[in-house]
Amino acid sequence: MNAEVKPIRTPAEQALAAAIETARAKFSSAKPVAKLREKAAMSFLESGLPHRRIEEWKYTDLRALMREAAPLAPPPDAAAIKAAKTLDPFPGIEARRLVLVNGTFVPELSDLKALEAGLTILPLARALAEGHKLTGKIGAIVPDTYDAALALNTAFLNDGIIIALEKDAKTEKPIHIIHCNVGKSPVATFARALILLGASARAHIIESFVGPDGVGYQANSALELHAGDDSKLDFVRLQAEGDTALHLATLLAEIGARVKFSLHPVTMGAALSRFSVLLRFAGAGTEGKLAAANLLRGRQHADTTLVVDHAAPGCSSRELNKSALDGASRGIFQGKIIVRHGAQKTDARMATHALLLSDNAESDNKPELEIFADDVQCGHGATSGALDETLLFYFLARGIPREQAEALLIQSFVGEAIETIAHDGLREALMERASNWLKERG
Amino acid sequence: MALLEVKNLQVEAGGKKILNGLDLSVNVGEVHAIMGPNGSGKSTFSYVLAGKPGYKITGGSARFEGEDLLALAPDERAAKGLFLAFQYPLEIPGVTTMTFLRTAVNAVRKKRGEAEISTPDFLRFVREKAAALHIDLEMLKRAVNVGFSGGEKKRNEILQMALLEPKLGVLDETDSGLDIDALKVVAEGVNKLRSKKRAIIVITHYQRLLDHIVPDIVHVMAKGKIVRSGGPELALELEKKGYAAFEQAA
Amino acid sequence: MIHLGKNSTSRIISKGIAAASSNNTYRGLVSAHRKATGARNFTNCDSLLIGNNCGAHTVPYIEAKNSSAVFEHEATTSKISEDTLFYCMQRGLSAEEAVAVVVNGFVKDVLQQLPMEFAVEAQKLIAISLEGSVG
Repeated sequence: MNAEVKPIRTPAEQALAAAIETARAKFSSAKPVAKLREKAAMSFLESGLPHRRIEEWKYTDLRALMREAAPLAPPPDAAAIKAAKTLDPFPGIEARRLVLVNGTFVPELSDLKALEAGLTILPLARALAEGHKLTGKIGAIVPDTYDAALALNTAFLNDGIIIALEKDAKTEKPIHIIHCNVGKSPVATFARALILLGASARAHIIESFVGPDGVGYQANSALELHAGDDSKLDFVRLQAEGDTALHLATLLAEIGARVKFSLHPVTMGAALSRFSVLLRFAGAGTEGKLAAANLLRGRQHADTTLVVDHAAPGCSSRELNKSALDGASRGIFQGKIIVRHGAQKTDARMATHALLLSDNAESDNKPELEIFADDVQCGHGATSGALDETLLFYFLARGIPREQAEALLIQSFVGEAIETIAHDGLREALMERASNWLKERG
Repeated sequence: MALLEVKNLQVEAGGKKILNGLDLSVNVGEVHAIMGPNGSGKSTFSYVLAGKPGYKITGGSARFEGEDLLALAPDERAAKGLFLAFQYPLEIPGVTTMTFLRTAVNAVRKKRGEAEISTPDFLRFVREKAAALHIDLEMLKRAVNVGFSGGEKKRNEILQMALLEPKLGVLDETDSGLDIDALKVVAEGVNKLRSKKRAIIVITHYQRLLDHIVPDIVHVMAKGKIVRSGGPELALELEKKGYAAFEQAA
Repeated sequence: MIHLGKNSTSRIISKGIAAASSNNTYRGLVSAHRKATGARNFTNCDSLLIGNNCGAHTVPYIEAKNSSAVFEHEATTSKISEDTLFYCMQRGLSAEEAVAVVVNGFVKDVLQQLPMEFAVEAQKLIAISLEGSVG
């Protein structure tokens, strides 16, 4: 018997549906975006929160894990803005700070002065209100499969940021997008970013996420990135949300020809997080690198889901995912390499390695290949295991205490994903974060 | 009739002209050496003789025992008795060298209308030829060229030449990547294959191989054609003067 | 491959060949439960593509629920390169024989585990199904 079961909406789904209703009345702006929002809302209302029977969410049953939906965050008041002032996770690094507080862009905390030639930075809410032509690019990158987190972000699309770099333009210092959550009561935030790099543009972007511990806030962000031909982009991402937060993030990238692209995500925060990445190689001869580090403990659950879509010939991609899993944490990596028909001479390699530091930690890996061209070199490797006892013994035999030996080994394990960051300051700051994490491990 | 008669051969690859009117005549029983600087077209010439895809013949001819060589598929050329010892022998994972050798020997025999060789006869045949090349039978149990050292790969090439008994053996930079001891073993193997019924073309960049395999005729190649031919003394002259003088002449 | 017992070891070797317009999918689960300490798995999943209308898909699920489990997974895709075919043909093998030699080498790890009669049959089957896939 296969009776048609109408899923009962969970409290979280009911709350989200109600919030969508309210938002429909409240947000009203230029037509294309309203239409996009409505379409996403309809898909979400139809399919609800994803659960383990949705292949892409197999290991992150959001319907079961997300008990309730927090109310939509109100625009930040003066106190909230004041509180956000000190939340830069990279205070020592010279960068152009663009600050979003609870999903709202705050110009007074942001550095919008003396913009480099060819650089445009627009608060998304204002651009939408004015019907700025760049807003037409929002929603242009469509993943192959429907994704609930992205649909929710789009359904509540209202504020965020647009960064556009013209042809040949260059950022003098990194642009740092800081997503801060402030306040004592849990709120839901939906921030959207759009980054457009013209041909031969060069950019360095940092995106970071911070918020208070113990407040079960829910942050959903999405970033769309268009990299023009011959452009170069270094992208570093730090997810250091508060320890009880829910973090859902989507990165969609459409990459042109002969682009040099590097992405370094570091995941440390949130109780439950999911980072979904689509890298679409749409032009020939592009080189993409991703090196991710995950440091999880307690009952943290972090899911990195990556699709590398080789749609053009002669591109190379390298993906490395490293997870150190302590306590009863769960680290998930789903990585899919697609080589489309005709994407000959693709050279794609993916590796995921998990280090299980406790008996209660769990590592789930799903590296996939989907190949439709024959003259390609593709491969993936996945390993999981504990610290190498023979290596530990070597340290012990040299008189290095066990804890210190473990710390050194773990640091070098996750360090492999961090040490390829080109920016010295960022690399050192992230290494230090990893080292502090290890100290706290005790 | 010459065994190999190449006339005004012109070849392009990737839109670039590589052979530029090459002439060469090789008779049975002769050993020829072709010397030339990098990029002069030596390896291309050997590939074109063996029929490697990717080269466009834009003019000229190559005849083997009077037959149009360029019209034949690579395996037909092998069956006719043309053997190329590769500069970079390919690795074939999972296929033992022994299996590969037997398959090749039998394929060539079949095409020549000869009976397949029985396994015991084949083993005897391989053992005899391998011993001459100081090839350990253990090596033949490993997959073709997988994990072989440079010397092992080159000895394996010469072993294959010995087994396939070609009329013309073309050795493409067989000395590259070999130390002096390995070079001597390989040269010794080649010398054993010298015969009145066989011709050999040795392609090399350096004179040192020719101390061990003494050629009857030496050719100097530059810019896609043979610019000078002479006796073994030409190799010595080349060693002294360098290629620059010949390149200018080309 | 579900590991429930202590110190259990498993090995998966999958060799998929896709020629002409065929598609080949590997889907496999390797899991070690909490109490399956010392579990080990090695998975090797290779695909060989012949021609440019075929597809290869690899979908492994690897779930480690205890720290002493050691899992290793490797997957590659490759094609029969022009250079390798040429090398074999230079030694007198026809294009089809050359493909057969390379394919047999590719599946060797699997075929050599089979009883002789099956291995011979399997080899013939491979030869038949690859007929006409080149040239």
